[in-house]
Amino acid sequence: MFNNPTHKILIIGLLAILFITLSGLAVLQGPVDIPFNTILTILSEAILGTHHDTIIAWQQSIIIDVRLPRVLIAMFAGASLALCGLITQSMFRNPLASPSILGVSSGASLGAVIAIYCGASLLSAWSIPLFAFIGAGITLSIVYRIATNQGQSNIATLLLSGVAISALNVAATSLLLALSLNNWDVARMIIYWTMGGLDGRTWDHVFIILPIICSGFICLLFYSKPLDLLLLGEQHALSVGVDVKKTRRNLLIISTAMVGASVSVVGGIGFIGLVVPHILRLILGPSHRYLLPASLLGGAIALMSADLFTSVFFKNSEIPLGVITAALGAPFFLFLLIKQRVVIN
Amino acid sequence: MNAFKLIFFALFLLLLIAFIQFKKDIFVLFEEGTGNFTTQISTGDFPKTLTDVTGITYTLTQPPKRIISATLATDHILSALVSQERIVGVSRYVDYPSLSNIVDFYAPSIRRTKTEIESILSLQPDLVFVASYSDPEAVRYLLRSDIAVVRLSEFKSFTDIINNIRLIADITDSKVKGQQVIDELENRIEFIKAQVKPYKKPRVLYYDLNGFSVGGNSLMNEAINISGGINVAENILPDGEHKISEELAISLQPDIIVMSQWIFNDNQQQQSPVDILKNKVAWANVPAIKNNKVYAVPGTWLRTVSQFRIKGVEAIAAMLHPEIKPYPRADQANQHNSSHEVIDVQ
Amino acid sequence: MTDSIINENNLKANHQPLLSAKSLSFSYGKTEQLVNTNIQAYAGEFIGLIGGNGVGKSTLLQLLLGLLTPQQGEVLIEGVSLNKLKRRDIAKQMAFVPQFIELPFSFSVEEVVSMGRNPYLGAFQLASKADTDIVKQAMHTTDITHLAKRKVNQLSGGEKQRVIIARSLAQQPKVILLDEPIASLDISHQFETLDLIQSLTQQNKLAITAIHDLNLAAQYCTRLILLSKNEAGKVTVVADGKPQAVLTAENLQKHFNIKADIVNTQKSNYAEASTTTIQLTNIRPIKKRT
Repeated sequence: MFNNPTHKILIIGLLAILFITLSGLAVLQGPVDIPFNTILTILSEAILGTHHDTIIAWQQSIIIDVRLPRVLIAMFAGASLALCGLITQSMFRNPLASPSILGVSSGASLGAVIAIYCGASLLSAWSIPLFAFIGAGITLSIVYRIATNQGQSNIATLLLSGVAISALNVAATSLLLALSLNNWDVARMIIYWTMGGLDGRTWDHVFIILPIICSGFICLLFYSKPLDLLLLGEQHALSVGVDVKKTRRNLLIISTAMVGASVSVVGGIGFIGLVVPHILRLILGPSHRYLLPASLLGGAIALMSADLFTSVFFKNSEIPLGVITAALGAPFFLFLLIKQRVVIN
Repeated sequence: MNAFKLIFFALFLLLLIAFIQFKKDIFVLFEEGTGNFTTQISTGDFPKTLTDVTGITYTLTQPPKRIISATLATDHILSALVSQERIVGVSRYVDYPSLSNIVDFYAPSIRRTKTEIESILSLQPDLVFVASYSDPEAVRYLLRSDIAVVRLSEFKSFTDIINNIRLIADITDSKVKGQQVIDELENRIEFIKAQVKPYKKPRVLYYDLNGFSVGGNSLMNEAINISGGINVAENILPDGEHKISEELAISLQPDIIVMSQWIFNDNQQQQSPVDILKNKVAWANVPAIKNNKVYAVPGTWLRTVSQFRIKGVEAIAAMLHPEIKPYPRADQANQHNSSHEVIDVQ
Repeated sequence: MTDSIINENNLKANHQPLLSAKSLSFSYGKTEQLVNTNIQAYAGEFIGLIGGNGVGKSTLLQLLLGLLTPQQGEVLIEGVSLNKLKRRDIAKQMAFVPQFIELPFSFSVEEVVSMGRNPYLGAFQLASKADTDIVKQAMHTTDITHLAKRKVNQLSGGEKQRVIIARSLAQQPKVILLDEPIASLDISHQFETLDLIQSLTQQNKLAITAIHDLNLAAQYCTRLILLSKNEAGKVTVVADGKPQAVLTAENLQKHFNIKADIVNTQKSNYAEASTTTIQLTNIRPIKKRT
């Protein structure tokens, strides 16, 4: 762990450099080989508005309309998952808390599956995010209601009710899938949607996720001090002037919106929310002043590198992105845990 | 003492494993078949012997009278071969418009079954048709229950379909009808092949909005080839149906895109997959989109592994080569002519 | 209210109490915790909350802090109801020292103490020179300056307790509430902590602490409040006043189930108005008659 604030800023700077490099690489690298110079020409035309005759139209559409939205979505979804993980972990003072454990992710999935089942997904690109947000919100408010008494929330009850509601959501999703089997096309759509991933994402999806994540992140910046204080315990936080009840409620709403948005766009990619904030906390310490920007960058880096990894090493394979994030994240996470345990002992 | 218990436990375990290995024939059903494990049928007249790949044999002394068809493919094939009185159960998907070409063909009195052992046994069948993709637990029970079982495992080409039809016709004692179906199928394929021969082969991509396409050694690949086209994904994707990245699909620059039409929104005036694909900005520069050559074929014709598949091929052929003539039919008045039935959504 | 309550503060009745609780009642679900509890506390007092285990001392402290909301009654700080104040403004007047909870993630001592300045700083405002001076002063007062860079969860129980007290000092409050501040400390740290609190009350702050050790309570506190069941079997304030007036043989027997010899001693270390105090010796349980 680095204690010196200069070092911490340096690390965030390194993350930023890594982030920029990766986003560059992600645009350059894809299932189809397009020469570096061509890509630069295409990008310069798109950004500067200059006209080049050499550009092949279909290569242009691949770069501008397939790769760019894909990279941007990986960025935003990864960032939002990591941020939500960070917030829930700090708010509930539990390194295990994450949107998936609290049932928020499964609630969002259920909402999205309902949207597909009813055919609403074909009417508007916004229907899946909307339903996902409603699903996540309902789940979270039920979980929070159950676990909160007199403005105090018992962490064990919160996590347990999250697990229970999560099971219920998964069951409801399976039920819908079973019901949809009499229509093969709908069933297929639900199955592939639940597998998640970044394929076939368009600028529409970018514009769905962009405002939610950006405004969410800006709001969260205002909560960096209260989050530090909540980490010490709600009695401490209240004692130094944090309105715990209101802060918790606001943080839950923000994270629900962010999880709803990212789940609706990339489906269930679970491990980032748990691992990225934890790793960063081990490196940077618990202060949210550094953790918030670091998680934003770290989440984006994690999802982009997982996507890049898949496209470089498993070209044209059908390995879901969530599998890659888990397969890469889990061993690293365990390694850090063991290392930390040795230090403590 | 504890060590002794542990050793006893280990020895007992080893003994059991050895027993299972030694008396493998008892537990033969633990092993599911791999490769071609279609049931073998003895030639000649009844009584016929059915030999499963597990070695289990059944003898049918007379043509079966209580047939259960537990797969959609055999539902379709039997519909052309056997009178309905001889069928006691068909698969439960047979009336699903999104999957079946013979919705409401079978009388309501015939049970719709899941591949589920209790309901199958309760119908007291004398012959059950299952497939490689049927629920393996139920198949295991069936194989043990002394009811004659026919397992089908090959569905990769028209040759496979024809073999399956021949086998089913043989075991149900309807060889004549079976041969008629096969002849017509072969004639129609040959007819298309002959018609498309003089034309230049367009580059065709099969694309499913979930992001799937087909490589070689698959029915869809065969359908495109018969219809006089080149499957652009043939040597790019592995054999069979596989996920294709959008980027790759666009870069293949197909002249024609074939999609599978949704059934569920036919009557709801919802967007067809063709409209959705056409509205995707990223696809705007694909020749097929530019020239408005994106077509949807009813999914039931593309998915079926029965004689109905020819409808899908004829539909694709008509899309690829609008110049060709439809297959002339003797009973055109009664039956829809397939090439007019193409859903052209332009 | 029972007749046994002796309010020694009648003299101060013309002053406004710094912190007062007016007929507080609180229950968790259907279990009543506190009924009709009244307290008036003034600047400069060192009040010990005493009572048996689970009688509701922590609950009362949390009610005074506003962490719990009473079903009836209200808490006033300088005559203003807590409900009408923002948490930030309450935090400028009142600090709370909870029993230390282990942290899964560790801050440094300096960071934790600096958090006391939170009510004075905006969301993005960094600590000014004045703020860091206050934090340094708080660490100096509690004698933890040498620990500033250490991680909080590497410290001993006594050190942690002092860190949290320093954090509440950095808030510059008028009132400090403490929940069992000496429960987990060894005897020398118990004295140190209580001396520290006492010195704060001499700077005209009000300290209210839940405390188990009756002798230490008698020695340090200027006033004791005994929480226990009244005749009706409801928990409320059953005695309130100077240690000599609260720790009577009758109260000890009735509310603590003990007998003890009560000895008057001279308090010599501080020149204060009340220099006499009491000490309990030969404490023994009362055998229950079967």
